[in-house]
Amino acid sequence: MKELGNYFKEKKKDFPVFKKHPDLVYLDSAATTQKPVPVIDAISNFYRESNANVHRSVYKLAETATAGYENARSKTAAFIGVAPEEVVFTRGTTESINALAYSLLLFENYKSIIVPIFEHHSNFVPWQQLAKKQNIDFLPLPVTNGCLDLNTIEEFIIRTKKPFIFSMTGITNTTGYRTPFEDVSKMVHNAGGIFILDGAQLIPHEPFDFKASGADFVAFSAHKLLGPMGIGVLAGKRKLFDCLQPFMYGGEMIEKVMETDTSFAPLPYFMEAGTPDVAGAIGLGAAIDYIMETGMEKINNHISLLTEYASEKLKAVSGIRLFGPENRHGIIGFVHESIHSHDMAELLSRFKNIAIRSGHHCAQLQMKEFGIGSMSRVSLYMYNTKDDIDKLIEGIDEVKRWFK
Amino acid sequence: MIEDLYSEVVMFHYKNSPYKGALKDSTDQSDGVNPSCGDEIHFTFIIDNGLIKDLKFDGHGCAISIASASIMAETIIGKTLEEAEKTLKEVLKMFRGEDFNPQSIGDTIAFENLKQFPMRIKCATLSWHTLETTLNKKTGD
Repeated sequence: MKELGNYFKEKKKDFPVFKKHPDLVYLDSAATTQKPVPVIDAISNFYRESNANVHRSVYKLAETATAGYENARSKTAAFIGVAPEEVVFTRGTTESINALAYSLLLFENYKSIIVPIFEHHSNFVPWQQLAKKQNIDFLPLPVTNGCLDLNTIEEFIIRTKKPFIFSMTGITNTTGYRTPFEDVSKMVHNAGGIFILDGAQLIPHEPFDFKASGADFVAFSAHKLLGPMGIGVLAGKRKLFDCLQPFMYGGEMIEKVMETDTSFAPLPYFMEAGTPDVAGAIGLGAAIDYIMETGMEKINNHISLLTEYASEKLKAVSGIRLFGPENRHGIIGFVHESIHSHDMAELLSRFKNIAIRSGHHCAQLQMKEFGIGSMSRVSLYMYNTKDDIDKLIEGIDEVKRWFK
Repeated sequence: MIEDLYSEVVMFHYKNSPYKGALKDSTDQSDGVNPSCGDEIHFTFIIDNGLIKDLKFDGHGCAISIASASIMAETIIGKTLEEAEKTLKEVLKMFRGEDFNPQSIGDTIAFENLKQFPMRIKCATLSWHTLETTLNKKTGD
């Protein structure tokens, strides 16, 4: 892999937050990424120049707004390799998964759901709670050191009641474990199940092709992908979407309303009740343009090299323990033997303006599996540099001196 | 200022708390859990005839929550249940940023500046809310 440090140092200049805070070491991109100028401009320009509601009016401004919104949908579709109508805009990954869970479990006849315990709460709790309400079997899949074992998955799939749902992440948000979702989706399909991929951490990090992934549905958020907060995607196979019933009703998703019944608009509109976040969608479109122009392979390589560099440096610090597998991508979870993760994060921020995350990372069951209550997490994106990692290591040394 | 959060008193109690451990002959026990940070603190009390004779704590948490447990133990050992309740009220007022009487709260005053760090208030209040549960149980008897 070629080092692209200088290329990305130049790219960092596109992110105004680093002009405002020149000494900021931002290592929390798994929570949300910073935004480049073209994304900020696209959102601002929508409100300045073409603000109108979409899919309602015939006047010119509304036409421009609608075209902008649908153009963002086409870009998103091309980015992940689906047809435009297979892209449903939501509020984010959480809403995508909840919408899907309701649509699948309230209206379809599934008998069981398998979800690994390392999932973010947003891909665990909706399934757990709806399964409980609908009296469907819920099977939390155990993991070992934050990793999956394909034999265990096979056993779970064999004994689960059919038809079933399997929902899983592409990259875990606690340890950066890149899951073998291509293999798992095959196993699920061989047994007649449907496979849902939580792409929140995956989509920002590697070139993604929906068909090659084997997923039936994929969910992700714009704000972890250089885009704005409040907009996300649920994409899936058209033939599966067509079997779904909407669970949210309102404007934009209607075909015909009669006194005692209603028929619904075609895909994707029947899944998008109410006025959508048009500026958000346009911002997501701009983020995708920016990423494509930068090069997803380049971003992936840069982050892989940085992750390796950071892992080696962190491992060399006495008292630090890293979690999860060695092939982590973009995310490193760790603890210090005697310094609590909140103290670590607080002091790194106060001493050196380093932003890392601490806590359970919305994955309490994964913390339990590791035998800890909380961890520190470093997460990387395209604007990070080796300097950031060196400053982190200096910062940790300073925190250790404080706690001596 | 970093010292407003990690003051000398706080760091002393965090590193060398004299109140860490568990009382074998305890009369009362209670657990404080803060699931959002994973902090868990277990308290053992010896309460005799309305008097808090001894108190120890064990568990894990950040420096603020551990120091707060230790300072709370130091502050309320030797107090009657009524006195402890009065102290508790003043401490909670302090954490809410209201006017309070510092007279009975001892070194808990070290957390007065915590209001500058709103994310960390819950670390320091965990022990005091656990004490509240114990006191409510006792006075409800």
